[in-house]
Order: sequence, then C-alpha cells, then structure tokens
Amino acid sequence: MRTKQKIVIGITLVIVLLVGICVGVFTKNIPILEFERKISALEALTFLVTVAIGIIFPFLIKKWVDDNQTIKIYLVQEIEQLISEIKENKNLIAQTFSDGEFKSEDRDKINFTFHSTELQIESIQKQFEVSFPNSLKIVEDMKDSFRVYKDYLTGGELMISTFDKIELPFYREHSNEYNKFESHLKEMIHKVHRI
Amino acid sequence: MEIKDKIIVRNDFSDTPGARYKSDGPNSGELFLELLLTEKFNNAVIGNYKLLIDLDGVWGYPSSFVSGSFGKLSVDNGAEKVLKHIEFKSDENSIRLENILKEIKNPKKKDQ
Repeated sequence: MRTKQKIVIGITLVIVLLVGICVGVFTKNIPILEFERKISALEALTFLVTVAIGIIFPFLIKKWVDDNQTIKIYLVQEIEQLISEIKENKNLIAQTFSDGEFKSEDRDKINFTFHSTELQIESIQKQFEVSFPNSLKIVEDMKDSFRVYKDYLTGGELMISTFDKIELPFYREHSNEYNKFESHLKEMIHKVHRI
Repeated sequence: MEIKDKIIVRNDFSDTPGARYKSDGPNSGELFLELLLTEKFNNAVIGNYKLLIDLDGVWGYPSSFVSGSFGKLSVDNGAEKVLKHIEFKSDENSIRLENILKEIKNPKKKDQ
C-alpha cells in the first residue's frame, strides 16, 4: 500500500469518527416531542387557517402575477402598434424625399396618420386608467413627446402649400425628431415592464 | 352658460384644415379665424352664451392651424375668456381636444 493511500484512509477514518461523535451528541440532546390529546377550538382554527393560507395564497399570488403580466404584454403590443402607425410618416417622408416631389395628398396623409395615432394614444391612456392608474405619468410624458413631434411636422413649413419638395436638411431634421419620439416609445415599453 | 350657436368645422369650413396664415395656402387657421371664429366668438361674449365647436369628421388638425386660429384667438382675448365662451366637442378623438385646449392655455406666439 502506497503512502498516499494510507493518508486517504486515515483521513476518512477521522472524518467517520467525528461524524459519529456529532450524531451521538445530537441524538442525545434532541427534544422529545409530546402531543397533547386535547386542543382548544382557537388552536384548531389557527391550524386550519394556516394550512388554508399555505395552499390558497400561492394560487392567488400566481393568478395576480399572471393577470398583471397579460395586461402588460397587451399594453406593450399597443405601444408597438403605435410605433408602426407613426412609422407611416417616416416612410412617407423617405419616399417623397426619394421621389423629389411632395404633393397636397401627402400632406393630408400625414395629418390623417396623426389623427390615427391620437386614437391609438387615447386607447393606451384608457387602458392605463383602468389597470395602472398610479402610472399615468408614463402616458402624460409620452403625450408631451408626441406633441413635440407633431408640432415639428405639422407646425412648420411642411404645411405650407408651396412646400413641394423635401430637401436634405429637412429630411435629416425630421429623422432626428422622429427618432426622438420612437425612442421615447421604446423606453415606454421598458417602463411598462417595470410597473 | 347656455349653448346658443355652433360651428361644425367639417361642414362650415373644411374637412382638411390647412396651415397658419392665408398666405400659406387654402383652409388656413387665419382664414377660419376671420371667416367664422372671431365673429361667432364675439357674438357669444356680447350675448353671454357659449359657442359649441364640433371638431369631428376632419382629416386632422395641423399644429399650425390650431395655433393660427384658436391660439391667436387666445392671444387676442385671453385664455379664460375663450374657454368661458367656447365649448369644444370631439366624440372621436379626446387627444385632439386636449391639444387644442393646451394651445389655448399656452398659445404659441408667432409673428408674421
């Protein structure tokens, strides 16, 4: 037998001895459980209530968490829908920039897209009022950001009838304004998840 | 205060409101102000009644139109007086209503 094996066997024996001592001391001092045959009605009730809470509570918590999660997922989908609606303006500006022509009908389309977007914002606001009334500031901040973007696009030169071509500086500036609003909506999705 | 007069924008003016000034093109806020809004508003003030403005049925209200009409009316008369004598109605879009009320309370002053 090699020295290394002898050391391993020695250490194992010491460990077995120590564990044996510990088990002996523990079992010697362990308290003996005694049950009373008579219990009061209050104690029985307390016991039943404790068991009931133990069983029912996890189900209630799980249902509450699941419901909350479903509402949040739905709200996120609504915000994504808002992003896809407002993107129509971005696509229209890109298309008319590339065509080199901006027509009166394009102006009407932009105004109508803003109208549709406002309806979507209204819908999101109503859902917040029902499900997360304490988090309405998230919607108010989003509406402020929306107004800044809408004022940029429909409060300036684009609405003037002689504006018939999108030049590069306008295209760039619009992209910046659009991205600010889109970023705000994406941040809003994170905020919804954190409610 | 009783409502005794009304403007239905889509019927009485246009379903495609335009820009700020008359020089900006058709259906401007300035034209709306001159043709309809100022006179009907002044009559409402003199007669001590409310003017109802129905905002529904249009393609949308550009910010420049809102500023050139309701915003200008507010700059000239004060927000309190305007809101005392005008009631807005929009069954289809409450955000539109909010934007117009915000413009009246904090009008953007533009110089031509």
